[in-house]
Amino acid sequence: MEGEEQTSLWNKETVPKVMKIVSTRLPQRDLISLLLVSPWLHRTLLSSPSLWLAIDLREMNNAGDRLIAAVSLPRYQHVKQISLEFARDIDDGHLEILKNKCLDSLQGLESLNLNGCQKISDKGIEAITSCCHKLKVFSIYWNNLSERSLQLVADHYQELESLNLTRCVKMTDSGLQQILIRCSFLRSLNLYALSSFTDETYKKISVLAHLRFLDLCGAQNLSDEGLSCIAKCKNLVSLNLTWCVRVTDVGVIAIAEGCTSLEFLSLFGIVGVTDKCLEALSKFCSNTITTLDVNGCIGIKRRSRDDLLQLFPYLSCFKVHS
Amino acid sequence: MSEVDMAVIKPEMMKSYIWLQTADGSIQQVEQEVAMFCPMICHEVIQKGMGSSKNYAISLPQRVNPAMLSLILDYCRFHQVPGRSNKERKSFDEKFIRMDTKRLCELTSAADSLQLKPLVDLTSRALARIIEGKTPEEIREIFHLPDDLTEEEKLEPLKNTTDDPRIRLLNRLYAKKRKELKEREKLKNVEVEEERVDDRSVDDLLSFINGDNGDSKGIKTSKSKKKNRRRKDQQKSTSANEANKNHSEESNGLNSLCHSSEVGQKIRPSIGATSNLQDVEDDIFANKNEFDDGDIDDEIDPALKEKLDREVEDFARRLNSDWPERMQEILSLGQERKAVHFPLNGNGSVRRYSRAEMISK
Repeated sequence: MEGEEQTSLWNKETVPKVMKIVSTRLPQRDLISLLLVSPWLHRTLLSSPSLWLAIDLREMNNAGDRLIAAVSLPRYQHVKQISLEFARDIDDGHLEILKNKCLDSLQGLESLNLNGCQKISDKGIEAITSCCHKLKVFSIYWNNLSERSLQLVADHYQELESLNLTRCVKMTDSGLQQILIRCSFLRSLNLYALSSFTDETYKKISVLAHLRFLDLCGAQNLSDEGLSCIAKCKNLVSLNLTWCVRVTDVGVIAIAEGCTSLEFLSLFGIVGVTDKCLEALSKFCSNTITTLDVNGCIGIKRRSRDDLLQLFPYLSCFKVHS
Repeated sequence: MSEVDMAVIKPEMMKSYIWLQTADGSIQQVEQEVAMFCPMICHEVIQKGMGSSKNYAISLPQRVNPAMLSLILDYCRFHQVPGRSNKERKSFDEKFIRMDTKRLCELTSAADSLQLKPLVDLTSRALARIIEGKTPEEIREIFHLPDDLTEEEKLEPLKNTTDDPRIRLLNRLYAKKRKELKEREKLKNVEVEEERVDDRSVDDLLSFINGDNGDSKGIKTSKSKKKNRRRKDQQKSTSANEANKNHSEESNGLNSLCHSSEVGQKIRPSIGATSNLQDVEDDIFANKNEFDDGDIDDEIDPALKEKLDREVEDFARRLNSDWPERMQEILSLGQERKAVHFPLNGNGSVRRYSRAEMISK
């Protein structure tokens, strides 16, 4: 009988306890596999709510249906993070259903990634803003959203910390300005491949006192004036100015003087900067800069690996943009 | 070395020992500095004054049998020595966890009861690597768990009084599953994936949330990693419709080959890479491995550099005349440009984005 007891102990106690520990390291897919292994594992894992705070539907088909099914499950009622990055078959209709049927489960949602979900329009965003009130992280890379969505986000998420608008080409100045004015706690703003904003809008970024990460790749209208205003964001750690072709030494020096905690900087493709700006950067940020991309900066004469290491002793990454 | 030997060789050393008792009743004494490496034992000694003699031996939790205790003490004996380098410790750890899965499991459990977090982290990471990508059946086999779920499939359709689309969906899934099982039974004698009648059956079926159908085999080769990346690139540069054509394997939720495994594989370390003790969580949120490879060799050789400078100059001129279209073109087709070559991974904008996302998280 002892053998049976041992086996029983193994199945019902040892393995579930161990799996509970291990499961914190497992991706969603394996978590669900574990659920199906045995009734005791099932029970043990479900009793651990911290395991079920994220729903990962990246690149899946039928994502709309799957999302509704998932959010309807009791174990996801405290979901904090949903990723639908490049998921397919999800549109405004699904979001409407979510709003109508799963209101309670979405109350705690803090992070939503809709990258690449091109069937979602402003209507879908309206559904989201009306049922999720606590979003901190919002990502809509390459989506078909317009200024209206930005307006909605600005209205509802004043505590927003991270916003990714990469390639949302329909975005306008007024929409972004609304965000800048009202989402003053933003720590991360990604405007990669958005070339239509005016310099006036870029100047307004200066109000984001908490900004740490700013991606302005492709900001063709960004001038030295705009960049000097951005330099007021003292806490900036990461700044991408790839292809910001109007920028010269003046702007970069302003950044050097203002953002002394800068760790990551790309000046890729900017022909108007010279060695002067590197000297300034070295003077103010040499202790912190670990990534610096000056490839294609033909105005800078001394930018070999050794030259750069002399100016920035902690430099480890020399390339950002390819 | 026994205590007597130690006393003979170094009589002047007053070595302290802690007395420990395992659940089977056996008592042993362990060098103090080794035993105190375990927080639970430390607590018993300091807060309760236990362990100073045989009569006051510290009772260890039931999960710590003599074999496990011996392993744990080996671990403690090595790591409590302050002078060791990180490399030494890592090397020791790698060798230490080479044991069968059952032992690894018991060890995790025992270490957890003694609150020895570094060892729990080490063993649970190893177990996570073992579990990754496995089907429930495979997991049962590995951990010697009985298949005690009900054999018969009892998938009753739910009553759909409100015409809830979710319930319609569920019933459709049940019907499909029933059909699928019938077919499978006809074809083979193999055991079928069972579900329970209780609320679990809902969950199990809704594991289609995961794109799981039980037959998916976990580990894909690096070929599929590349395929996945290329797919992603294509998605970004062409319309969503075109991208859909590439996904030929999708049929319906339940029957589709586990699509999510591809997503996972892209970012999971390969099983068996025992040298990489990196936390699995890190891999989930950042394509760090890909990016880091790039960083190791980020120096462009001079000839290429010159070419790059010329290209940029050229671009700068063209850009000023023809910006908006150029911009879109550059950024969406960046990785496919033949004009500018880079010695590294050509998925510039993909990786770039991943890095950006990683930072912003």
